[in-house]
Amino acid sequence: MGDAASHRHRPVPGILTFIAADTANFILFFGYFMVERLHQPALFARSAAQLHIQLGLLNTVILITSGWLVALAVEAARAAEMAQVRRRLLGAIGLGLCFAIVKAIEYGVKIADGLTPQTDAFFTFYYVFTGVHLLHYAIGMALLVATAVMARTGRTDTGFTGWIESCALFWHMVDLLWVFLFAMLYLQGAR
Amino acid sequence: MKALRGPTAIWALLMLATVAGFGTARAGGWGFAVVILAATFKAHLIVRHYMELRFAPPAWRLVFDGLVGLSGAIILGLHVLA
Repeated sequence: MGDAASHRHRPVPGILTFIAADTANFILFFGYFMVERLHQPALFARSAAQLHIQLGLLNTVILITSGWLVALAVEAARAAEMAQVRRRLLGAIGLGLCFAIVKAIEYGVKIADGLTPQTDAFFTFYYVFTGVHLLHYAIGMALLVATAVMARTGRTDTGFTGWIESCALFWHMVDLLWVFLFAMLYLQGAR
Repeated sequence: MKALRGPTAIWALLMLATVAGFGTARAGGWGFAVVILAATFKAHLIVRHYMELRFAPPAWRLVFDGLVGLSGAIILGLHVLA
């Protein structure tokens, strides 16, 4: 991230179209959940209160910090500092793994408590939305790992900067969607 | 100014907004408005700085600002109606 004037109106990576469409799709999810919540706000608030808010917060911190490391890795790639790219990507991937571990613990605890997708409408939404998000997360992790392998094996001569920028955009989308999912599912109380 | 816009400064702002939003967790009404405003601010920072939309043509900035604004508006608007 250099001086703004030197980067004005960069070419837009093609992946941005996909990210915009995917984000729009999630907005439909948000709307669907909130409209259903209109019919039974007390039940939704009661069920939301059974989520582990600290685990949700921990995963928010993990994704924000992982996104920061990916942004730093992109900076390093532009400066052709490949050792820095590798270190920062490995840090982002390590934190990314923590996200999956926390999520697995959360799902495990919920299922052990008898809170499954069949429990009520809130938990159906909770498992579907966080599951779809987890799928995006898995794709993002695979892209980060592939990028780290490319950086390690030195296959970085042609188009590597464009590749890592596109992968970073996808990873930031995973973070962006989680920001709203966390607020809507975990932090919403009854009026 | 560059330092204030760098990835580390944005990370610090994202963490501060997370703490601010968490302060009124599980509240309704105005408390939840704080949660959603903090979330929308965080999404705006991610889009503008980490996704670097601030360097994109105006039409793309408008699309992503619109998506972020719409997300916050739909969640908060329908929360208020409940």
